[in-house]
Amino acid sequence: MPQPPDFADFVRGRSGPMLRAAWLLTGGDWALAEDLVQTALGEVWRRWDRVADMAAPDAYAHRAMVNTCLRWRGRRWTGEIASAYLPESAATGGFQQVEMREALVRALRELTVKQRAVIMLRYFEDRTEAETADIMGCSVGTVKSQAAKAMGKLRHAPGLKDFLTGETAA
Amino acid sequence: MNSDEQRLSQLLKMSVPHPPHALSADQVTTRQVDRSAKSWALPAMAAAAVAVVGVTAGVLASNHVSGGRTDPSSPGGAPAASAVKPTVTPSSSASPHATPTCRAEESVPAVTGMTQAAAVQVLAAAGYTVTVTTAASGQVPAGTVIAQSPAAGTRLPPGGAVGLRVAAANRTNGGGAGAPTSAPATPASAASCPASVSPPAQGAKVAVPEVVGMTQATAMQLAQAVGFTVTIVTMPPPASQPVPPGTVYKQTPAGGSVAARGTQITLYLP
Repeated sequence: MPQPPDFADFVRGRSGPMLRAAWLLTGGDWALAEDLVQTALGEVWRRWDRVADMAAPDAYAHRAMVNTCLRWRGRRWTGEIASAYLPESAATGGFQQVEMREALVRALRELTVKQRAVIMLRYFEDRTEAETADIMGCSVGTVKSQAAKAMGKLRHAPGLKDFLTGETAA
Repeated sequence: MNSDEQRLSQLLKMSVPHPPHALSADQVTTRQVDRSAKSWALPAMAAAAVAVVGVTAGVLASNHVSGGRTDPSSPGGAPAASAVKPTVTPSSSASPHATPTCRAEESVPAVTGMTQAAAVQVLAAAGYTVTVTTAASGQVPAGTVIAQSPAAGTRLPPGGAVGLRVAAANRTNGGGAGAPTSAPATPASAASCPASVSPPAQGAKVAVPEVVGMTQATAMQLAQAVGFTVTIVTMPPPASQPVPPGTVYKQTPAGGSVAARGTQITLYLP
């Protein structure tokens, strides 16, 4: 099968940021995150002739990833395997960072996929509410309400509470 | 942003780790090839699945195929699984070993331990969609399925999604890790039916799977899953027929014909 020349470059450049975003979307499961990014890039590859001409092919890839993730919501195995393969603990960073990350993963898994998507787009990628709504294909009102619900849950999550309410210095 | 949101933003940027390894375009495009490979693998795999289900079904199915029944939804005009695996009508004259109670298409076959290609084909033949995830694993050769979900034997209607976790190339072990083809061939026959169902007797008639065009490992797994013994013959193909290395270019008996279980099937490789 012929492969358009720049697709390899695109994957090299974008897969890192996409994987990190997917890590958040999947609640800290690298395997699932890779699966998600591979699927999204597969969509991009199938339409590469058109996507390559777009002003922002990475936005297209991103949208494909978020939509795929939202579609996967009901899949039985999303939670099932995750428990058998605990996320690798980070090799870098101090204990505080490792503990924080583990607390974050636990908290993310308490959120819905939609809430994780809002959190990722709004606070990890610093997109506006309008951009977030556009990527997720929902209204700005939904983005606001989902963000508020997610924020409410995270604020009470063990291990994150102190940090998010500002009681300890970062 | 209020201060909560700012702190969350800070927390996310600080906590999200960097990926353990980067993706390459090959991984993406190979997946696409895997998916499209299903369409050509279907006729052979459907035949194989049917043979596992029951001898009668196999005989009936080959009749169906030779009757020219094709699925209009498959563009290549290839006989789709639905055309081949239907109605296990117990016909007393054909075989006493038909097992209409075991319908492989309703429970997920066990594919753990197979190579990725073989697992995808087995699942595709059973009518499932497959999602492959790679994961590091030090213990098994790269390309081997190390986990599946739902688990083998779970009842899942055709069209359902089955996730596979496949061992990635071993990074810590100085490369040269086993290629997918080095995985041991695992007969899948036991996998597709609950253990309570007795397999068709040795010597019962089974549809021969079409394995031309497959890799040696996949072809062997398929043939053995149906109950054939396999002989590999390495012989240059005819000059008119260029064949990629490691690919079966000819088989006897031919795919689609009916042969006794335990029969020797000969695969020719360049």
